[in-house]
Amino acid sequence: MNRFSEFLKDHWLGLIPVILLAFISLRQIYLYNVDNLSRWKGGGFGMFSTIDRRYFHIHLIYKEAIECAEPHIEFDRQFEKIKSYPNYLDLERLTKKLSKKIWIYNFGTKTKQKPTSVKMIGKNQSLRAEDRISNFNAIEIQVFTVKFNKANFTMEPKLIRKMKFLK
Amino acid sequence: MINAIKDKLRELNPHDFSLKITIFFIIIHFQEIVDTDPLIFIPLIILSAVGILFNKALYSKLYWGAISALYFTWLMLNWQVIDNHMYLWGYWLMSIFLSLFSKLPKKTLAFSAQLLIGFCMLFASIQKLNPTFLSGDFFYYTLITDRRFFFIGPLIKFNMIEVISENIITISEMMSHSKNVILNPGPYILHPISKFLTWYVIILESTLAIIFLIPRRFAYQWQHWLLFLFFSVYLLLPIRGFAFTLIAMGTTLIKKEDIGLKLGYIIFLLYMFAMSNIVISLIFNFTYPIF
Repeated sequence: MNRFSEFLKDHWLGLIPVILLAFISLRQIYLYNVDNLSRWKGGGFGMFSTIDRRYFHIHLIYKEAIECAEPHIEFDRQFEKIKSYPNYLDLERLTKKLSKKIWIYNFGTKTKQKPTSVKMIGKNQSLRAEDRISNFNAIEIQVFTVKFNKANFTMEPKLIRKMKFLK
Repeated sequence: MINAIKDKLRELNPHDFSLKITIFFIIIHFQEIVDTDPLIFIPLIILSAVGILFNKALYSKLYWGAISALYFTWLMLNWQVIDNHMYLWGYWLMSIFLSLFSKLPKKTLAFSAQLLIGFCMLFASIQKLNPTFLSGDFFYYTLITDRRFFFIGPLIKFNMIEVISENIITISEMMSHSKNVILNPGPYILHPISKFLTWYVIILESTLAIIFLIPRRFAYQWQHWLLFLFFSVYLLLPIRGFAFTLIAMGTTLIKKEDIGLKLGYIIFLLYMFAMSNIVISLIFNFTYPIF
């Protein structure tokens, strides 16, 4: 015991990163269990331990009608964060930000008559004469994960969190 | 020639070598992602280059303090999306920095390295104690959907590239329409393979955790050889970041007179750095030409 305490006295500094590792890993396990943090991320060493393919949908809502929308590439990192850890505060901030953006209809290349989806105008993009702005009074982000059933090889989407923001 | 190599290996100080490869890894690994956070990565890479040019910098508290501070800034800003081995890399940089405040920096750093590997493997094993992993479902799903596992195809003489590509399209359809889909299950042999992989990984990781959490004098050789066994995963699945972190930490734990282990780490380092992609491509082109 004496030898051990002497060793610790000389090398206690080496324990600090280890304590930090243990603390962050335990925090990751806690957040995975209570707040939908991905097991693959967050420093808990849960990579290659579970199926966790996450994705999101954005819905622009206008008088009960829903339109699927695509964010601009400039929001990629924020959506990556939301997918890994969809906590309420960040979701709220993001929906609020998205509600201030201009969204236009995206027309498919074959039929120019019907819009196929709605897309966001980026910070450095400008509206063109032919663009049609999509009106909405609420915006919703839904974050999904998947469930794989090996008995019948089905994969089903599982909604883990959603947030609606009224304009 | 052989004697000259032996002499060089004998002279090689594991602690110094570990610090040098840490710096070297920062340069080669982070320059690939420099555009994601240039304000952090450009100074980090420049600082690392300083360490390569000026050997004295590697023993400076200020130098490692600056590197650790930059790295942890990046880690804190992006903690939700950063892979786990990048956290381990951060703890490693912090260990180097803190060890310089100790009376015996080499021993303190080796103490940190051993416990970091032990706890990393311990948490990795704990996280795998879930029904999806233990039932083999995780590896089954991964084998039929993850392109990194294409190498299974040539081994079982089955065109797995086709199965994986088909499943990726199916999953993308599921994501767009949020509806249930049925995946292509591939050949039956994937069931036993997924079970084998499941138990191989969990037994190996938990053994590594136990071996690295007991004092080094009781399990010195076991620690290194089990780490090499763990590296064997990377022979076919080159995830460089994690392998580099384990090499840097493992090197610190070698005794100065142990030239065999030094050579082992150097060979694996060269393989991961320069040859992994070529070897995989050559082996599997030869075995089963599905490319």
